[in-house]
Amino acid sequence: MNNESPFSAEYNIAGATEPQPTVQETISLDEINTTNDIITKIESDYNLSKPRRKILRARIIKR
Amino acid sequence: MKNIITQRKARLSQGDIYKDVEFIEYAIEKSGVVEISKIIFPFVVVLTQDCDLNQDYTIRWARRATSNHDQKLISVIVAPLYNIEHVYKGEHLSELKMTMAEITKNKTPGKTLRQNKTPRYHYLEFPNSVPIVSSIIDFKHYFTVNVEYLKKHKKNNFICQVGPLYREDISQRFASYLSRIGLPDTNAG
Repeated sequence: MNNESPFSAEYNIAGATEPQPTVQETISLDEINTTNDIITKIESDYNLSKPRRKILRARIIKR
Repeated sequence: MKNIITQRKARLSQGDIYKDVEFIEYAIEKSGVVEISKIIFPFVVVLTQDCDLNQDYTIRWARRATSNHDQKLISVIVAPLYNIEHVYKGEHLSELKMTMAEITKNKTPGKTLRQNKTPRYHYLEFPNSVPIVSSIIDFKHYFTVNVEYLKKHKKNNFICQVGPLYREDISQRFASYLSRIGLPDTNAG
């Protein structure tokens, strides 16, 4: 059996292994957090497209 | 509605859509403190007649010598655009602590709304090149904006202009809504 990599040498990454279940799990959690961030951003943008009120107060300074 | 112009002209034009336009609710002074309340509308459409805007621009900005200021405007009429999905739920003014009537999206009220058969509202949808979702103009919420403020504001906040005929349709429907006659309710005791 020929153990030679089907890829040319420049594509071989030293120490590369098959994906491990724990690694996969960590990535999934990261993805969930990213998704939640995106959802939060979309929801805040969604509300930004509504009219909003702004009240300004300033003290008059006499010269 | 695909008839949209994205090229910005120098002057204010009928059918122009601008973002983040401010409406001053009040400005009061009490005991040396000034308080100003304003509403920032994400999108508004210009309803003032284009010939009026053109004449105002010619006198005001082109500095054409005239014997009087007869054709100068005091303000520009605009009406807000609301995200139609917010309108269906009656929550488009929730940030102003106002609850509006719900409009059932998939039943007759929603369909007549999108067919522009409800006098108070005008439905607009935009091509993908314009960053506005399908929206509703609420003619009841029209307001006026200072001409010079809007001219300066336009520079960085112009989104697009509704194309010919479609923009006249909006203004005509607005005028029709505004000139409606409220008849007494003969059934009321």
